[in-house]
Amino acid sequence: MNQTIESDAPEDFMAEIEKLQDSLPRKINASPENVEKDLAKLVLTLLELIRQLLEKQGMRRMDSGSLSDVEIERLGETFMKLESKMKEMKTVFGLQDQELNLNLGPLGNLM
Amino acid sequence: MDDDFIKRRDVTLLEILDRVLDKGVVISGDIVISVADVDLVYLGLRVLLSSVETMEKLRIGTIEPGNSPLKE
Amino acid sequence: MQPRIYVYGIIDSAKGPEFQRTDRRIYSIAYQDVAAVVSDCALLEDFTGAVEERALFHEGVVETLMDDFTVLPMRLLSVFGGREQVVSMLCKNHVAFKANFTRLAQKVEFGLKVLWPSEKIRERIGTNGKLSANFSNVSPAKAFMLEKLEEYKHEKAFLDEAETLTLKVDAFFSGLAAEKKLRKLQTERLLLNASYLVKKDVRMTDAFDKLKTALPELEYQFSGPWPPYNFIVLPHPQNED
Repeated sequence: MNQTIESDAPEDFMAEIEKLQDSLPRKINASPENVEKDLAKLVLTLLELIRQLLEKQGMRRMDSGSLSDVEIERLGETFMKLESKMKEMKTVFGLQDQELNLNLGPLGNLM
Repeated sequence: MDDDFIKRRDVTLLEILDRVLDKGVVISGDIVISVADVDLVYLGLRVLLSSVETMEKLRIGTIEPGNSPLKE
Repeated sequence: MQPRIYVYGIIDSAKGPEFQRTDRRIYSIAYQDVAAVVSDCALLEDFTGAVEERALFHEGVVETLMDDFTVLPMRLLSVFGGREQVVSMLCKNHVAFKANFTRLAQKVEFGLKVLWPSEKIRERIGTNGKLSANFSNVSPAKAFMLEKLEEYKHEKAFLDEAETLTLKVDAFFSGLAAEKKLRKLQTERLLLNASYLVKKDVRMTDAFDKLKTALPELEYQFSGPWPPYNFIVLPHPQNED
């Protein structure tokens, strides 16, 4: 190989790149129990995405000062309920936080 | 083997694998790859670089279709 | 049984090289004005060897070709059922391959990966401690929102720092590059994973030395010249069936 290759921290770089490999899609094991879990994973991933987007939107408006106190109160209550409901659903289906993500190939991960 | 030599070789290998495993011309149709080979491609950098033990197993052929260490 | 065909890359010439490397005969299969550079392989036996060796061999063949041709390097383990399938692949992708040859002629790829001290950055950004003190006389809903706001501000500041630093790093190369791919913050510590497509005579190492001097607090992994793995553009595969 006739390249210039210079690295300040070979092991550190390898460690970070390994983390990327972790999110590659593995072969799907399509047994009946797994199909149900995979479907739940997909639905909850999308719900989680929407929940996070709503929260982010709320934060942007709060940061820019365009929310009244009443609105902050109401959004807070809604978000608290959504968050706890999502935690509940994850428990029911036995899913971890890291499992609720989608690899979009060249676009990286969904979240 | 000199420590520096190993490090340099590992970095070279990392950069090569980072490119050849899923970049370049990727053709989907007409490719004939067996189950074992698909496993090898999916194993990716983690197994290929960080596990000397697994490398040895790959070398002597004790990893076969069906018993890849990353199968769930 | 006809041998399977392992493809190393596509070249912009119908007359490809033919040579021996270790125990493999490298030759080409042409279609009109392009060719696939290949070797025969029996399927299973050939792949029980270490992937490391195969990757090094593959890269070695591609780099040999770079001296005399514009090469579109093939992904590792692109094995076709036979000569007919290779010709069919060349035919189906002929227009796309030609377009790539035009774009990539006389150009090579350089890679730059950058690590930054993300924990120190997060520490420096910190959070506004004053707010937490006020949580006692505020409703749970409002406290929830205030806490989320702190997190949001912190995250925003962190991403802004990443973006600013990335632009600073990229500034050393973007003027030199015909094309570039910047993958930003793929992990917390991996600030940038960049690929630059540059003309063969561009002095990338000089630019890298300047970068190292200007921003010594970051850690770099710089490599090249490579075949243009990251700059192949192919249309989305059509459904075969």
